[in-house]
Amino acid sequence: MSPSVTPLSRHLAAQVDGVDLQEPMDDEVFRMVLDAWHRYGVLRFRNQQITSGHLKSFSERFGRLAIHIHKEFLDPDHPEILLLSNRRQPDGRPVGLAETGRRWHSDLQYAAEPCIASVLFGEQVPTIGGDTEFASTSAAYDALDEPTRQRLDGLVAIQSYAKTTRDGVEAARRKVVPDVQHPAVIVHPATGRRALYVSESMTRGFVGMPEAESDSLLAQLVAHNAQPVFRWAQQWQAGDVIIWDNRAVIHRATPYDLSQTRHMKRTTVMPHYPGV
Amino acid sequence: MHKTGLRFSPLSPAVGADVEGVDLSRPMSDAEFRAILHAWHSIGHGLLRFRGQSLSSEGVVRFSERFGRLEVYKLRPEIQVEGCPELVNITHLCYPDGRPMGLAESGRRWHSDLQFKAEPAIASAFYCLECEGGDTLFAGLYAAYEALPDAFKQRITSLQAVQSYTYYNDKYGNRTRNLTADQVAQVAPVTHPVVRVHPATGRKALYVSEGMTERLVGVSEAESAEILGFLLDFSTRPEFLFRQVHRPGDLLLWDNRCTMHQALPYDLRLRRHMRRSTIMARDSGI
Repeated sequence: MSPSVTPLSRHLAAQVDGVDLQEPMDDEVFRMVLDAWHRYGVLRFRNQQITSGHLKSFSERFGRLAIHIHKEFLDPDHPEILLLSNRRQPDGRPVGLAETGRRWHSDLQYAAEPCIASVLFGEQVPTIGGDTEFASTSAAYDALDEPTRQRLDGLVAIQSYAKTTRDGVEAARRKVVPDVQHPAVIVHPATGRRALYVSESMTRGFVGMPEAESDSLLAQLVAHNAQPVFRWAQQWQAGDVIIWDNRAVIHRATPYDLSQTRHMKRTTVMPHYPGV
Repeated sequence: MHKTGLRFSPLSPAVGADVEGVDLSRPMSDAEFRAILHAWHSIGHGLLRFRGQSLSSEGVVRFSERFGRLEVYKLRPEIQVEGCPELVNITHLCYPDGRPMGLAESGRRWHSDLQFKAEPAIASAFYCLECEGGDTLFAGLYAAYEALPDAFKQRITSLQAVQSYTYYNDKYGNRTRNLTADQVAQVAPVTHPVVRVHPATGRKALYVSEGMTERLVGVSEAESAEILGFLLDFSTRPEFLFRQVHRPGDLLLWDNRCTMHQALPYDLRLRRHMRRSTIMARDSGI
């Protein structure tokens, strides 16, 4: 079966069929996949039976793998893989992050060097719930009215890890991750398309703007981007691999029945080289 | 024809395309920018030429900024365009008081811009004010990589190479200046992969050059010399080249991740005055 790409919604997401991620991907297929990824923001590969090694090999085609700051939830044999899981160790400790990312965000948006891609493999998934919802930040930008676009022109946003966390456990980590600044609108280096780069979970406000005005603009943009027309939900089947472009989409996790097992593996992909 | 009115036509099989139907002195729409970016990544294989432009320094800066963040060339502030630190003069001409205006006789060996830095330039824009001589040769490094024998591709697939600015100057006896300690620190040798994957196209390109690549890492000196000698020779075969004969009003945009270039010598009694911007990736890849 030769590889094919089928769009899954109006503004984002496509399914790639005919590619077995157990096999090394040849350069031609990779270029087709990369083009589709740039075009659709999210790609899905179904019915994959892959090891952590395969997941890493696939992810590495897109860039350099980063090791996540949640050291306690890394795959013991593959530190490049973060476990999102409600499985428990024999001593009762969780093997992975069980509930995370419930509010809209772009991965590592709070970092000076955010990741370009994230890859998620659903090894074991609950029968109901636990969808991963995506929203196109480029389609959302395109749909803004002209006065709002002009207001955003040159505007810088403050991104904050501290904003993502609420409980005391995180207090120590919160102190070591300082706020960073990124443009409120970014230009995708491959497509030249503009995209909103603010999110409910991580954006604290805008530089040089009075607090009330900043809060109101942020709320307006968050609500705008969350409109159903810009959204697509990944309903997980075991064996699904999803790769998304953090420069073109935001995402959030949705709840699931915690009595069912959910075990996912994630990689975090940085640009291949400094100065991509 | 593209819906923006832009027309693109190839300049050679391996590298370069001409762009017609755009006046770069006017603000560029997002649709035009995206069409140009796409053509640069596809039909141009990393090199676009816009002829017949009439651009101020600010015009060259405005165009360049669409593609990334502009680097101010701190190594040699005296060659900056007056009042416009984002551009450097490439010329042997002098100011009326006798001070050199810019970099003279530079880039005579194959290189890509800032290849010797940990963070190289992704692109450069090059605008011709005057030119009576002094062509520029470009090599398409996608095409060169793709034409290598498979066994050779395998052999170099994960090799790294040392890139060095001082090597370049020492080897070719550049009669430039003595560098200060601070300048030497700015140009300490770095290591880059021999084969790079372009982040936008996913295509692989060679990333070694006669001018800046000193040696390969992790192989013997003899093997390094053998592999590099072969690659430098192979990548400059005529079928991978395009020769640009500059005309006033030509604006070139080249991609340092998949092309390299070389300035050809000319008679210094002729006039030649170019302006260049150096374009870096924007904000850590986002």
